[in-house]
Amino acid sequence: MHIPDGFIAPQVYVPAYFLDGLFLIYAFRRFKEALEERMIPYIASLSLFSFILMSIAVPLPGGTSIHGLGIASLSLLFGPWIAFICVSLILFLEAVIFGEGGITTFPINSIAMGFLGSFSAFYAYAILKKFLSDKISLFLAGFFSTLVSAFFMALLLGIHPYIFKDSFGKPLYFPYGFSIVIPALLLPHLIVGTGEGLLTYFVVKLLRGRVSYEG
Amino acid sequence: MKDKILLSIYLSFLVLVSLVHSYEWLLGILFLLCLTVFLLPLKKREKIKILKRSFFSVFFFSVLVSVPYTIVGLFIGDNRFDYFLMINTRTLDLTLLTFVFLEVMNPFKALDFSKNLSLLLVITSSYALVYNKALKDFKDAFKSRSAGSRIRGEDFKHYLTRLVVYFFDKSKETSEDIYMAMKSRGFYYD
Repeated sequence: MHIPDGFIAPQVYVPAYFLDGLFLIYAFRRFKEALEERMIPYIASLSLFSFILMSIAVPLPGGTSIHGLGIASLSLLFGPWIAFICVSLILFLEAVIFGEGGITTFPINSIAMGFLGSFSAFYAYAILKKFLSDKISLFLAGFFSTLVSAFFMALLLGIHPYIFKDSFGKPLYFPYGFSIVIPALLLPHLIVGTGEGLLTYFVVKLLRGRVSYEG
Repeated sequence: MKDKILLSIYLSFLVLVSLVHSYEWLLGILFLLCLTVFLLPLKKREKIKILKRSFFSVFFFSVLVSVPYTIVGLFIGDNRFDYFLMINTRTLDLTLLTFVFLEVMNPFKALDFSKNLSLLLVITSSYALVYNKALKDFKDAFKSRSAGSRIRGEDFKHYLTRLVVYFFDKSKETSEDIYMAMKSRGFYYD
């Protein structure tokens, strides 16, 4: 979900830029040491693959279809750090170069979808595969990663009316509190998560044997 | 240097406008931004396109958030029209500001303080257009080969398999191509 500029307070997005920047610098350094001169080609090409996964519409029962995110697939195939970098790079290009998606909301999307989405998928799969079949674990990893991202986004939006209000108590940025924004974001993401779960299962099963490097 | 200065100005404006809560001021800023769009050395059609893009990129989320919030206010006797004006004008201001600055500055040059970041952005964005075109061809080919509007599950699975494998192999080839191109242009010291 793209939140446009204007709904997030600078007191939130400016620190979020610093935090996201720190995570990204750490991730880049990790790969620079591991891949050296192949770092840029590797990240660029995987980001392009991530861009394609984000464009795939997954059909759901009932004739509807939703766009997958491909974050869990990338995380399980190549590792959560590289998935975080690739997803953030695509979000950044969309926001800065193509003018789609908010500039002020970029770090929030990057942390929610890129960082939390990748790591929750990675660790959910690592834990679930001890108890469940591989098929179900892959599906649930994709499903949970979507819900974790949406939940973080809901928390961040929902905190605004409590902190940022005028002297009459009227909201200055996002207007809805937790009781509205959490169900409003999580319920539609149950459907998105189902699509992402199916995409994760499909993509990881298909490509698992073909991956040569895991970060 | 010019692009870096413009980027700094843009970021400062972004934060400043985010901190404005008076809709009168925000409407004034919107007027100035619209005026700036019309003063840009662009064709009339492109200027209207900027205004339209700004409006539509704000419209969907605003309809979902600020419109219901204002309507609920009417039912409970709370006049929320000031909020409606403030949030939508601010969102439009910030979006228009981004489009205006994207017209006057080169974002690649503005971000070239890091050689790696700048290179990564240029390479990825240029290849993204090629990938997007290939994806469109894939989708069109699938549509043209699907009889009627109903798509069979088995056909979709086959299409998805081909698509994922094709783009995965293509991204591996792209990685090698980029590496060789960079090496031949002297990016690495052997």
